[in-house]
Order: sequence, then C-alpha cells, then structure tokens
Amino acid sequence: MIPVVEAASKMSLKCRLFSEFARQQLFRSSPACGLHISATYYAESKAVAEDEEFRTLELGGRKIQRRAQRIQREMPTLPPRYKRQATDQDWGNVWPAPRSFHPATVPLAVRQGYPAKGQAPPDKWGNAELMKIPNFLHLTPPVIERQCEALKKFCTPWPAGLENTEKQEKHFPVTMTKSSYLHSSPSIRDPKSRIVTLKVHLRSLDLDTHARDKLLRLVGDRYDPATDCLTLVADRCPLSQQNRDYCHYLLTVLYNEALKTEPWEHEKEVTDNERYVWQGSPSEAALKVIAAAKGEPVPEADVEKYRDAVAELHNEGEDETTLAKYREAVMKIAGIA
Amino acid sequence: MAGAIPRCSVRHLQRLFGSCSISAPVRSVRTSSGNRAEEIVIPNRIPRSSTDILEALASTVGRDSSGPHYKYSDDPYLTPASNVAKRSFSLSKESGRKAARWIRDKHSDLFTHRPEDPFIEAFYPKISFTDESDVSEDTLRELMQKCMVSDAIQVYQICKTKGVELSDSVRQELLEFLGYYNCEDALDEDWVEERWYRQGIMSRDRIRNTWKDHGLAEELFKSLSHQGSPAYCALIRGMTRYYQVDRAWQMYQETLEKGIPLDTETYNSLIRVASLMREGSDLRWKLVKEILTAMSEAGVRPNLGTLNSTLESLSQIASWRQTKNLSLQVMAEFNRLGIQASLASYYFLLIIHCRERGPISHILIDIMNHIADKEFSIQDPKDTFFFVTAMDVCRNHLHSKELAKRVDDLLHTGNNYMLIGDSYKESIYYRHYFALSCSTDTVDQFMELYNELVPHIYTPEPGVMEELLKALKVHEALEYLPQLWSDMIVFDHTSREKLLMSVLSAMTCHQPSEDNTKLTEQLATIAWDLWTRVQRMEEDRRNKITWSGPMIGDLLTTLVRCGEYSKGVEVMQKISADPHIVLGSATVDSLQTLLDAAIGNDEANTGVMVVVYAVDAGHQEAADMAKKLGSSLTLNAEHRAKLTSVLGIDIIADLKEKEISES
Repeated sequence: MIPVVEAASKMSLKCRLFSEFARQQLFRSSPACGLHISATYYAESKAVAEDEEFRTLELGGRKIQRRAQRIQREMPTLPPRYKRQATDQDWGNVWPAPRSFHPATVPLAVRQGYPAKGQAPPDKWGNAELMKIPNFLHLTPPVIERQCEALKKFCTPWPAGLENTEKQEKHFPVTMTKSSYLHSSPSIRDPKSRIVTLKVHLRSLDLDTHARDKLLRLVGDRYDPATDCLTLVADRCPLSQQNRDYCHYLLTVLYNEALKTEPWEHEKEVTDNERYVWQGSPSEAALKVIAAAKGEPVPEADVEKYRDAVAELHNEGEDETTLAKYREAVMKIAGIA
Repeated sequence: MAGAIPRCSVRHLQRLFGSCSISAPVRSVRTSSGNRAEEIVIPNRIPRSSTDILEALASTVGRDSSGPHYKYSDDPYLTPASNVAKRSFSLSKESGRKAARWIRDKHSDLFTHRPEDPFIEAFYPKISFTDESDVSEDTLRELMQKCMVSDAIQVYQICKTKGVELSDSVRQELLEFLGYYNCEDALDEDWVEERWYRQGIMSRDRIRNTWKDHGLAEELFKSLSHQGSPAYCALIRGMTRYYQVDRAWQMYQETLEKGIPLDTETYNSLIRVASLMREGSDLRWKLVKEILTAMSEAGVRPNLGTLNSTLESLSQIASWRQTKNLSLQVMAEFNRLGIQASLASYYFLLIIHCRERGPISHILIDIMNHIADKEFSIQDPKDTFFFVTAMDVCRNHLHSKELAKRVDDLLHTGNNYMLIGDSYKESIYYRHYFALSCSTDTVDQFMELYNELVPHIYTPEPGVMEELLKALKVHEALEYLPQLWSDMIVFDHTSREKLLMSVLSAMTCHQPSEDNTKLTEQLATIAWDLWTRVQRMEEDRRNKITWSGPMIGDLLTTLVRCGEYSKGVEVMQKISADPHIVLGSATVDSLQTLLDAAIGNDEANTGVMVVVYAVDAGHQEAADMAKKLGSSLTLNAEHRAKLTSVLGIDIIADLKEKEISES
C-alpha cells in the first residue's frame, strides 16, 4: 500500500474530496446495508399491540428512521502517473496532443494563483486556473523538430530567384489571400471562406501622375499611403473562385480607367486639385504685387523658398516646422531677416 | 470616346496576373525586363491524400508505458489496472455506442436533421427494407459493398417476390457473398472492443460443420442459368470455410467430371480441409499431393495461400515422422517459385517442429535470422498466431531469453504490433515473456521488465503473480515485495488464498537488521494490511478466505519479527477468542516466537494466552513452553490457575519444587 499512501498524503484536501465524490459516482457498488431499524420498530409495536387490549395512541410525529450509511467499498487506485516517469523520458509520447492540464501526468511542481495570506500560491492539484488556460505542453521544441522532420516530405524547396522581398515583389507583385475554416462539426462549409483579398503595391503598376491621381480617387479608402498598398476585398460571390476572378477584373478595370482621360476631366477646377500648386495661385499674385510695390524684383532663391513654404503649409498642414519655415521665408522677402 | 489605352497596359496586366495563375502544370514566369530571361520555376505541389499529414504527425508519437492505453481516461482514479476492470471499462464504453446505435435505428424518424456537408452516411439510421421498398440490382450491390448480409438477403427475397430481374453477374456476386458469410451477419467492424476481447480460435477443437445445407447460397447456385467455374469456385470455397467437407469434395468431383476449371483460392481451400477428409497421416498427405498435382496439371499458379494451406494440413499431421522434412521441402519449393512466406507460414513451421514431446528444434533461430527488422502487414488470417507461438516456443521449448528479446523487438518494429491479434493472444504473449524473464533473468532485470510492462501494457494473472512471488522468495529479493503487494491490491488479487499464502511465506524469510529497517516496517505494514483485509471480508462472500494454520503462523511470525508486537498480540487474541476462523491452528514456531516476544516484553497475560492456545491446538511442545514461561516470568495466581486447568497441576508444581530444591 506504500506508494498509494505516499500519494494520498501529497494530494490536497480539495482533490481528495473531489476524488471521493468521483469514486462514489463511478464505483457505486451494491450497498452493504446495515439494519433496517424501521422493521424492528414495527415488530416491536406489533408485539406491544398484541399484549395489551388497546392499541397505544401515538400522537407524536414518527421518528425518521435513519438508514445505516451505505458502506462504500474502497476502490484501490493507482499512484499518479508522474511517479512512473523517468527524467529522460520522451515527453512527446506522454502528451502528444493539446490537452487540458492534468496534475497527475505533468511532473512539474507548478503553482498558479493569488496566494492566500502567508501561504504559497496554490499548487497544481485541483487548480482550476491551470486547467482553464491554454497550455503548450504538446509543443516542446524537440517535438516540434520531430514533427517538422516528418512533414518535410510534403514540402517542396523554395523557388530559386525569389530569395528576398524585392525579387518576390518584382516577379509576383500581386498577393491573393484566402482563408479556409475548420470546425469541430460535421460540416466543412463556412461562408467566410469565400472572402478573397488582393494586395498590390502601386509602384508595381505603371502609372503616370494623372493615372495615379485618378486611381487613388477611384479606390479611395482601399489605398494605404503608409505602405503604398492597394487592397481589394471581394466577398460578393458565393464561391472564392468567383471572388478571385472578380478581384482580377476589378484591378484590370481600375488600371485601364486610370490610364484613360475622359473628355470631362478638363473641367477639373483648382479646388479639385489633390495638391496645392503655388504657380498661378493668389499667393503668387500677391507676391507679384508686393514685388511691384517694393520696386525691385525679389531674388529667385527667396521666391523659391517662399513657394516651398506656402506649398508645404497647404499640403502638409500647419505645425511648428511649417510655420517657422513660412515665417523665415516671409521675413526674407520682406527683407527683415 | 474613351481615352486610348496605352499598349503596354495589357501586357503589363498579363504579366501581373500571369504570375498568380495556378492552372499550368509547371508554373514559370518570364519577366518582361529586357535581355535577362529569368525564369522562375515553381515546383509542383506534392500530392497528398486528406489524411497524409495526420498520419505523418502520428508516426512521431510512440507508446508511453507510464500511462494507460488511449481508450482509457488518463487519471489515477479512472484508469483501470486489473484485467477485469480493463475489460469491463472498454466493453461498457462500447456497449454505450451500441445502445446509441440501437436508439438511432429504432427511432429513425427523429434523426432527420442533416447539417453535414458532405453527407456522412455512417451517422444516419440504417435503411430497413420492407416489401414495399423500391429495390433493384444496384441496391443489392450497395448492400454487398457494405457487408450487410441479412439486409442483402432480405432485399433478394423482396426482389424475388416482386419479380425484379437480377442479372447473372449480380447473382454470382451474391453467391460469393453468401458463401463467404454463410448467410449470417458477421460482427460489425465498428465493434472493435468486442472483436478485441473475443476469444481467438486458439483451441483447434472448434471445428464443426456449420454450413447451411440447402440454404440460400445453394439455392442461388441452382438458380444461375449456367453453373460455370466462378459459381463452383464460390460454392466450394464457402463449403470448405464452414467445414462442410463431404459435399465440398462432391462438388470438386463434379467439376472434375464436367471439366470445369477452378481457381487458386478454391484449390487452397480444399487443401486446407484435406485432413478432415481422410484418416491417417500418410493418406492425408497423399490427398494433399493429389490436389497439388491437379492444380499444376490445370495450369493454375500457386500463391501464398497455397503455401499456407499446405503447411496447415501438415500441421494437422504433425505427429507423423515425415512431416518435418516435408514441411521444409514445401518451404524450399515455394521459395523457388518466388513466393514469399508470411508469418502464418512460420507459425505452422513452429507448430510442426517445436512439439511438446519431441526433440528440441532450433528452427525459430533460423526464422528470426530471416525476418528480423522486417515490417509485416496482414496477409493471412493466421499471421496473428505467430508472435504468441514464437514466445511460447522461446519459453517452453528453448528457454531462451535472447531469442525472446529478438521476437519482442520484431513485434515492436514499425506497425508489427497490429499483428498481435486480440487481447487473449496479447495476454498470453506477455505471460510467456514474463514467466521466461522471471525464470532466466536476475531479479533486478526482471523487475525492470515488470516496471515497464505492468500495469498498463500487461496485468499479470494470479498464476503469474504466484510465480513471481515464489521467485522473489527464492532469490530473497524482498525489497520488491511492497511494490508487488500494492500492485496486488490494485489488480484485485487480494482475495486469492494461494497468493496470500505466497506473500506470507515470502515475508518469513526476512531477517530484520539495522540496514533494512524501512523494509522491515513496510513488511509489517503489509502483514497488518493483509490481516485487516481478510477480516473485513464479508461472511457470505463467494470466495471468502479462511485462514489456514501456516498462514496464521507466518503472519504472527512476521508481525513479531518486524517489530509490531502489539499487533501480533491482537491477532493472537482474535484467534484465541474465535479459534474457528483458523482452519487447523497456528504453527508451533510462530507461537514460540510470540511467546519469546511476550517474555521479552514482560507480559504474562499474553504468554499465558499463547500457552493455552498451544495446548488447545494439541502441540506437544506446549508443556515446554509453559515451563519456559513459568521460569522466565513471575505468574500470579490467575495465570497459574489457567495453566493448571489446561495442563494439569504438575508443571507449575514441578517448577516450584525445582526452585525449592535449587535454593
């Protein structure tokens, strides 16, 4: 009994209670009942009745006869599994797949939880917190290595000539992304798997300024200036193949439309411009007036500086640097700095 | 008017999209930039089936003997350890599955919700056929494909009553189908646990004729428009499979008369049952040779089945003096034909050569040299007998642990473990391995094997446990006794009298000393635990253990020697008060040990009790014991009175006289 005794002493009270309950639930044997006290009581009362002429009147409530406790058979249990584990065992065979934490199988003396006053954090036995969190005991580095080795035979080598990102972008500028979903359910279908995303850098597309401007106006939000990436998402068709074709179509149409110049595009006004252009603006006219008032022409460098400062103010927005630049340029022109 | 599309845009877009097309078998992209013809070659995807990745990952996982089989719960309280528990756990789980299937089939109108895509047929109730069902040939074919015998028969009957036309080919298929199954449903393949625990056909005296004479198979045979070779083959094979040998032989003669050719499997099946058709070894062999000659004359090529059935017939006449030579000749000849032997062939060779009453044959060594490190798959139903028989030969015939180790290594290479057969064969295999190790290895090596296999891979039966205990006693390796005792508790062996006797007698060999105090304590605990367990057993239990004299004696000796004097006294009190619980009485040696301890502890009460018991038991040494007690301890009047009443007044008076005379 020695190993069982040692194990029992190590387990916390909580676990023992749980296990008692589990044992009772699972190993309920035929009850080795004690006496049925009620039977004797009846016999007694019957005997009394026969002796006397009149039956005794019992006004009090009948005492609840307590049945003797069911004698639970002691089910012998094995010691916990970690005691049989060698220190150099193959852990991948013990924990091959994702599994909730089990204290008897994991040989580590881990503790988790907020410690009660003056005590250590709760140990692993019956620790709900350890059981709730995901554990990665099935993915120790040696196991990962072994699994990668086993999967290598399904992998083909990376194509030559696509070593770095530039080359990849050069040869394969368009990226199509699609997700498939796996459920723990009999059906393999999921409506989200029809969604297809197309990503392309605008630098891979052959666009002049007008085409670029037009394309950006057409796509709007789908362009990310930080990464220079155009993203098209298609989910309007029920099948991913159809959405993929739709993405191709969309990119083709956008590109071709961007290159075209419609006859009505000449009606673009100054307010429609995407960027502020100083040439021909009221600011230039004002400068000319000032120069005329001054009498002498303003030096070219100053004019350029002023032009850049005003353009920056409008295009980049007002902040410390742009305002400072503007101030300097104006003071230069005014001849004060 | 739309603006002009630049000419380069079309090519540009083609270049963009051409790079992500996956329809071409070899994807290569040529960039349009100038002279460098840089061709990116993308290798083709390696084709894989839907479970290949899972199988590859599964191949990285091996068996860990510290934990239970994956079908059991991995929890100290829920893992079964005894053979009874293992069996009932797996079978009850399967019984739950069977109950679920029964409910599903009984209330099939409730299972109409079908959310799966693609449709999973196994989840839905089986279609039952009535006289109104719309059945056809294709239904029959489908049912045969799924091996549903009774349903196929029902559909056939429905077809007959409805007059549905059944072509000859489907009739032939049905004939083969019914011949194989003898018109009875086989145990469903889903009930793996039942198949695992079904007693294998280890005993060979289960051969009875179970063929359904004039049953549906023969009816079908007659209903065929033309009984050609396939029909005769199917019928003969069916009949021989179910041991209807007389009529099978009749059919065979018919084919000879009519000049109908037969195929290899039919000849094989006839050879297999040749022993049942003749009496006498030489006649049986003559018949086998006849069939083989007929086969070669008909130009039918033999295969592995021919080899195995020939060897099987030879194994039936293994007591003949020529059989061994013949078997080797057969092996050589088939080898020349290029037919690789399977494990079943080796099994038959072992039966033929390694017989109980016969010379020792080392054929297993040659076989192992030939097949070591090879991976096998099932080729013949009798392949599963090889490992058990090989281990049996190693243990009983050759007594060789090295060879047994080689057999065990072969069992654990690749997927060979699947050829162990069923639970019965597995337990016998390990039983032989265990017993062999017990008798040939040192105790430490054996306990290594024990720790590896027990309790999750193999749980020893009581007989094996007894041998273990005997071995421990002989080798005086009592430090393993506590572990064995706790295992015995878990395997539910503590209600077996023989085992308890072995444990107790082993414990008496222990000599307590300073360096084994821990073991001494443990042994005392075991003895006390044994006592309490037996006492706690209910009176009306089926196999209640009654103490025998030697057992009680050993118990007392152990308790006293290992320092639990008070517990020994308790036991003594119990057996004095109720002497009927002991069959016989405690041995004299144990009583004397207890008496010495009582004298040592200066307890006259106990001493008197022991002496009284000894007298009641009729031991001759009782008088000497009384004398010893009287001389070592001072006895008061009560004690003396008791002693007097059982012994007669002499002893104490004698002592008194001696005292007076000496002083």
